Amino acid sequence: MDTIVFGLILACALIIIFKPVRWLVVTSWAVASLAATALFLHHVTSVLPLSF
Amino acid sequence: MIATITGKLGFWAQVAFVFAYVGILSTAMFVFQFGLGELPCPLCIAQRMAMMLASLGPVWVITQSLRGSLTTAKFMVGLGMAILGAVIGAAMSTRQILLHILPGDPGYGEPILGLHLYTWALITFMVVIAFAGAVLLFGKSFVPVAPVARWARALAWLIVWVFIATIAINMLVVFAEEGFNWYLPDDPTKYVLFG
Repeated sequence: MDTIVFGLILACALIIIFKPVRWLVVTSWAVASLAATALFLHHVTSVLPLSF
Repeated sequence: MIATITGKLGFWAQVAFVFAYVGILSTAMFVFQFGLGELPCPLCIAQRMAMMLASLGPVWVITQSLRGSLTTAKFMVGLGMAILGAVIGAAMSTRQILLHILPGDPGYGEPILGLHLYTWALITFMVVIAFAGAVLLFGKSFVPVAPVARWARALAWLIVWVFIATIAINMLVVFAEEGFNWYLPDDPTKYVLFG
């Protein structure tokens, strides 16, 4: 999954260089961001024993 | 005259943004991971991703500016990407800080100047948000104006391509660490791909 997310980020960077259309850049960036967030949420496995 | 100066300043500020994150990501990989042998944990990798997501905004702004097609709307899109990427990264860093906040917890990895890497990461994300806020405060004043000199343009393109190479190298390195598994282990001890 981590490799795939890096691949999505790389794809977004290459779109910015080679196919710089705004909606395409924003969409690819949003997909990469959602994938990174989903990966992060997968690793949030417990409620921390903290009280504020 | 002043608009030209602030425009050029705005351009180099965006380049400095990308250059700074290239430096941070390279230090994390080449010094800590390869040099000191500290394998990054899943949250460390996630924070690297967020740094790249935040940097894609300035990369968009720089390349559009160099091509002469940057508009105020495109500039705002770039800053939005930087801010949202930094917010995602700040959430990740905060989570990792809270994991190790209890007294007696040694933290993950070696600290630098008394702070662990994830704490420094949170500071960089806060700096990004403050930077974008400060630029937005001045309206159109800091909409980048690309330099005319060939060496300056070449330097900006070089930094953009080094950033893209950094993403590619990170992808290969995390593949080596993760192998053909879906996720990294919580406390990685070896490069799974190599056994």
